[in-house]
Amino acid sequence: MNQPIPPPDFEYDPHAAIGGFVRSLVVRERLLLVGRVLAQALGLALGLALLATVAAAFRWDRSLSAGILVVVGGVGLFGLVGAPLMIGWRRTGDVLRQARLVERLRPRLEGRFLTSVERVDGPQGQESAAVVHLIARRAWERLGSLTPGGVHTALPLILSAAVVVVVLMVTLVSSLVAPGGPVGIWRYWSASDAALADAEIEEKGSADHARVGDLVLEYIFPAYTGLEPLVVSNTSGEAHGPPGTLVRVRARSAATIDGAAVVAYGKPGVGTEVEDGRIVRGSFTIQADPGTWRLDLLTGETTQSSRDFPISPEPDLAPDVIVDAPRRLEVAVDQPLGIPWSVRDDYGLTRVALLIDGAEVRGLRELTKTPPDAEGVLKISPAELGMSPGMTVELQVAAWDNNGWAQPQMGVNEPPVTLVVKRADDLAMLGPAERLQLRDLMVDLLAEQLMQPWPPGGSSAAVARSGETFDGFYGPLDQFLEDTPAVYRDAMVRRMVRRAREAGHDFVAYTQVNFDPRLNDGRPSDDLFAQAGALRGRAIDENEYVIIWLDRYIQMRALGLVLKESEVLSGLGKRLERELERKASDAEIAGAVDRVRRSLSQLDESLQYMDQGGLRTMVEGRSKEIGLMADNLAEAQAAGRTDDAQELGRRLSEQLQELQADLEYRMKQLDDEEDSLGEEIKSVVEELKRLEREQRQLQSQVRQARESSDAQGTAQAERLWAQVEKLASEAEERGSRLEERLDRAGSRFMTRKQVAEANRSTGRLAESAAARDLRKAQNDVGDALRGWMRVARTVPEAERRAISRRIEQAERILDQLDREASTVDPQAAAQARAMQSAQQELEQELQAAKDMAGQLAAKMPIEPRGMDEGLDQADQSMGDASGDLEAGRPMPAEGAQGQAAEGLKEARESLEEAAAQMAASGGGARRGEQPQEGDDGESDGEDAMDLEDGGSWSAGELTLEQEFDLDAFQRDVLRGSQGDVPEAYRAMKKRYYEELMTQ
Amino acid sequence: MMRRSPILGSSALARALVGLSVLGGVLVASTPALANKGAVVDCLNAVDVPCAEKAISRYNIGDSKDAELHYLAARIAFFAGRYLEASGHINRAVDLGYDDRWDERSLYARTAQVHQGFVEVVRDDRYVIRYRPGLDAVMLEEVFDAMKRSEAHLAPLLGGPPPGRVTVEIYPSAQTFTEASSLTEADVKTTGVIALSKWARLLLTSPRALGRGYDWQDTVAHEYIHQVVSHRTHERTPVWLQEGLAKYLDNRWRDGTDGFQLDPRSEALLARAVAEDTLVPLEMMHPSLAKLPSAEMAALAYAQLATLLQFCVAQKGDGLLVEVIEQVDAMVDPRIALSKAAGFPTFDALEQAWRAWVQDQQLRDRGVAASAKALDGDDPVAGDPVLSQRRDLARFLRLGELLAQRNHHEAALMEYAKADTNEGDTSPLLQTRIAQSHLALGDLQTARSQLELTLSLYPDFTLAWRALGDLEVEAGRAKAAREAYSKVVAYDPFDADIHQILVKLYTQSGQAARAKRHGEQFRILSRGGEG
Repeated sequence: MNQPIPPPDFEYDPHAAIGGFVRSLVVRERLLLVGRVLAQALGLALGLALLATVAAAFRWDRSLSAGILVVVGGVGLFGLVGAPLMIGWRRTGDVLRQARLVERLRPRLEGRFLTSVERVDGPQGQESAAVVHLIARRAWERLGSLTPGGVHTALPLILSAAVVVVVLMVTLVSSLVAPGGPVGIWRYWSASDAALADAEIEEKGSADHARVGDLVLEYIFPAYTGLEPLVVSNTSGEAHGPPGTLVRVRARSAATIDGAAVVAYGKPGVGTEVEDGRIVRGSFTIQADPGTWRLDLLTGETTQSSRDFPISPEPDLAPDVIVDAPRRLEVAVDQPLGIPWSVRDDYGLTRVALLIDGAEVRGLRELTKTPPDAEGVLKISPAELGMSPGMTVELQVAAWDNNGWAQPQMGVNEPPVTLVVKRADDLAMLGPAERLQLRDLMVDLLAEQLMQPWPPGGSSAAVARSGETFDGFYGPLDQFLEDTPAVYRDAMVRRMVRRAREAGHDFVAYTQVNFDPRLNDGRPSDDLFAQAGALRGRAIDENEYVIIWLDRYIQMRALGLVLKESEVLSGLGKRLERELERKASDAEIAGAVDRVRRSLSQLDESLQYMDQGGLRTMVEGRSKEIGLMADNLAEAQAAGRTDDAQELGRRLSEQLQELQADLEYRMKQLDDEEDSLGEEIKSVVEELKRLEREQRQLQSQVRQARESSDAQGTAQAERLWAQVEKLASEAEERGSRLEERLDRAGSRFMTRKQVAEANRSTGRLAESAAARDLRKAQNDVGDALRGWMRVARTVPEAERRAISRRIEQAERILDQLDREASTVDPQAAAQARAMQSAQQELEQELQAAKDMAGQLAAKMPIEPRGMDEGLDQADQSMGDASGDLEAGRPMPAEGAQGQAAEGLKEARESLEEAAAQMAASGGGARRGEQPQEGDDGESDGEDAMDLEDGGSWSAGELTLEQEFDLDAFQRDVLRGSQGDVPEAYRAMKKRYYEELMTQ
Repeated sequence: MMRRSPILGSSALARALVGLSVLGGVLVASTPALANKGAVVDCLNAVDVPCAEKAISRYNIGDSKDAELHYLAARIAFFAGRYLEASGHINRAVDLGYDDRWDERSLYARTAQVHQGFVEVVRDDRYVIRYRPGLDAVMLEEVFDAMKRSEAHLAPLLGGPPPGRVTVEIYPSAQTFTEASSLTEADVKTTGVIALSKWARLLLTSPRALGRGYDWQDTVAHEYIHQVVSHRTHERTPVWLQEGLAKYLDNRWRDGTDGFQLDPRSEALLARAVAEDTLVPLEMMHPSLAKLPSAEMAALAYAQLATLLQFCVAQKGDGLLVEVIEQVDAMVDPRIALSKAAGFPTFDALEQAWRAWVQDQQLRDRGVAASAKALDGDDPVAGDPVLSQRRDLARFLRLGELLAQRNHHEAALMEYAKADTNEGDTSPLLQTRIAQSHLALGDLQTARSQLELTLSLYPDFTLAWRALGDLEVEAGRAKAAREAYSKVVAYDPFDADIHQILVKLYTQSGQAARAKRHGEQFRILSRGGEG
């Protein structure tokens, strides 16, 4: 039987002692933990302060620095405070862990302490209380003099504190040695950019120099720049502008002064004033070279200078001259050069001239209004410049800017164009085979464009890559153009190909500007995406358009060749018949037959350039028949069957003449068809013109009625419109200047494009305001604001805000105009309603015209591009105008009427351009292969069917008259007017001709 | 009488017909002073040139001062194809005071001019072909064949052939055809007239003058029917009955079997008219179709007439034809003659019965456009009934063609899709191009369905037959390929490549005679003539 062991009689309770000891261990360790965490937090704070000091000292980007601080602070807080507390607090509360630590320090405890701690509340299970007590007692006894401080020393805390102290010292020192000291650092982090600059200046001054701040520079630009004065507050002191710019300085001295001087380029200026003992005002002028300026401050007898501020002149650059010609150009002596040129200057141009071998030979433009750009085409021939075949000269276009401060600067195209003058016969023109090759290349290009997947994917990168690939499609075409200078001499072909190329470039540029190839995630905005799709579609459409044009051009040219060959054959037939009649010798007959055969071969060769079609089949069949007849004739002649030979000769001659007659007949039919179509075009053009005229008349009547019935309201509206116009114009002007600055600064392409687009919207707003078109202006103002919003943070904010402010102001005025338009004078409203029926009548007539135009377009081999859009715009705007009139709102009605008239004009011009393109690729092309007296082929084709700027088919370019002396110009025009055009176009051609000659 | 392809369909045609009828009538009526020479006139009205020559042989024309006599001699020579002689006589007649109100003198002169260099080939001393040496020689054997078979299978149905020779003149171009026919090119273009039976001759435009040819052998038979009917009725048959007979019978020339079937366009017009109850009353067609107010109505009238004859023959059999012709020759009103022969008491009763019958025919309206003619070198689109009116869509077709030429067939299909608006009638050219691109891409199934659709609507669209031939070759179906290519040459015998392919195909199948014939045709086309 087991007898229980009675508990021994102890003097103390070892369990309680051990429990108390362990609790004291926990408390101590936790206190140390808290202390250490606090020290680490302090160290972290000091570290961050040090980092901030370094950032301020080195003027790191503040946003970046702040970001770094946040990240470092966050990570540090977690690592040095959060995590130690969370982990350490729990660990420190683990009594067994405390016991093990003790055991580790007192090995002779041999586990008793741990056992006792485990049983601090008494024995476990069936354990003997006495034994447990005994173990506890022995453990306690063997613990000896061990104290909590012996288990958990304060060393880590001390080390942490030491680190804190070190960091504190470093931070203090850093802040003291940092520019501007602690205050500078504080300003760096708390003040605006400008204040920061001030701080810097003051700090700089504080060391060795006079302390100045609140620097304000006002720039008065030279008159020739056309730039408005510009005030820049809180600047760093650096002055920059074109030479001749007067810089007015305003600064605040840190101390009271008696006098001051602005010293620029080492020389004191005059007229420096001091206000209130601290405000200094003075000025200096920016010279052509870089330099410095400073303020010399006089206090009593002492002069103390501020630090030097840099002066960075922005030189007025010489004009950029671009000449669109290959490096080496061969031209016929009497061929117009046909070289397009364009010049551009940062501030304005005064004149343009033509240089040959560096010497001016002819003035091209005198530009009294000093526009920033000008362009034209050199149509003068080498002969007119006194050159002769065999000469080689260097051709340059020179342009002078309007620099009125120094000397006007001249720019020329570099390198010069080497002009090789040849006889017309020595020049290779674009041949039929090359035309076919060009068409095939464009067809291949179209295939690649069509087969490229679109949309290419959802990401920005996918669109950007797609644009890049698209660009690559043009490679073979570009290579062909580079390798085939003859294309350059075929002005019509060149122009059309360029049209397709530019449309492709627009799409590619858009993708590269608006879509980031690095962004594989995230879909671009729908607007961007839609616009890219539209541009891509346009590039394909343009390519298709040009292929169709080129194809027709090729066919017509080939037809011209075939016709020419048939004329030759017809002549040979007649000659053969005569020789047979006069009983020519066998050899002579054989020679004549040979000539027919050779000419037939030429005909067959020309046929190869025609497309497989009815006409080619017909002529091929005839050619074979004639060839057989020639063979039979030769046989009869050789066999001495003279009568047979004569009969065959007669028949051969007949067939040859019949072939020519048939081809002439087909030509006539084609011309008749074109004439007939031309008549229809003319009729629709006249109708559109009439509608446009009547729409404008109605618009004018609405305006007059409004003005007469509500003079006060009209005057008020006019004032408001004038304000909108002014604000929009100012905004546009500022936008233009910003564009130029960004160009000069070599800003990112994307930024420049975005700014240009924003400014285009602003320009449209100015146009709408000038047209007093409320509805359109309200649309445009939104576009403009969005455009400028898009460039926020990518262009100087002050400038962007200045522009946006003006547009916003314009928007408010437009809102006011809208309100006033709604509360129109009752009499004016009644008059407007009375005019609605006239507007509706026009609308109905427009519907009829649209039907006519639609039917006409279905018959035209060349698409009248833009016609439908113009008519739709007219339709929509007429509807708006009618609605406004019905609502008694004459002002917006006027705007809509103006839009309707513009739409009609656009449609008419599209139709006229298509007609010109038809003429250029049709009848003109056929004639082009048959040079006649006074007809120099390609160039006449161009003169007679000029296509630039939307489609007159008259001679010459309306904008280029200044390049010619009057005689030469009139000669060109006269020659162009001699080129035949279909009957339907003659009246128009005559009109354009008369307009030209009377200019 | 004339043949247009594939259907008649415009008021211009009606005007042309009236003009020709009036001219023919005037040629008879304007000779009152020649009453004693009536036998000559009778013979010419019966298209019996030997009879006329016999009748006039009693006169000494050479030194005669009788203008009318010279005029008659001119007409006989003109009918007989001696154009220079005809021209000489009419000049003499005019000089002697003959009032040439219808400008026959210039017609004879023009015809003489056109025929300069023509040659004449005679077969069996009965069948004559005049043509200009050259590529048209490729057709000679087939034209002779059509003439012989027509005489064998068609003339008996109508009471027998006319005496003398049967003459076909092949004009190498639309221009020469118009000059010799007194029609204008506008008539030809707008009405589609390509052949004419007049002056005891069958005037035929060479298929090479049309963009994709036409069914020229059927046309020979068609014109031959007109000639027989004119002969049997002494020109008393009105145009409506003439065209009804010819249109209904012209398919029988090969073996006499009745294979009459309306072409899809006529079927569509008729189907629409039946559905909308807008059939042209038969009474409106008599005596002349020229009274019809629109081209479409005229086209509908021709479709009605052909089915009317079909209906009548279905009632009483082929014997009805001779009976009607005899009655007409006996100056019975043609309407009554036809009604009686078909077993109806009145023409109205016949019309009612026909209307009921035609409504049961389950005619289909399948979006077939009126045919367009491409003449003498017109571009291919001019021959397309849809795209010739829609040049805006034709631009996409052209882009597709250019892409296909460069082997970009998938891209070509994208352009073709832009041209295919799925609105209105089907364009055979576009559908064929689509099929060709599918074929090039190896999608034979789509290509086949595309071509079958096209040919069901436009069975005379040669390019589709050619594409089908190419497809069958690709599919390894030689027999079907031969049939498709044979269709091509049946419309357009001037494609040397097709003859070459047929030589190969027939040689492979052991049909040496056919291979030989196509070989000959290939040589003619390659050389430019028979040599």
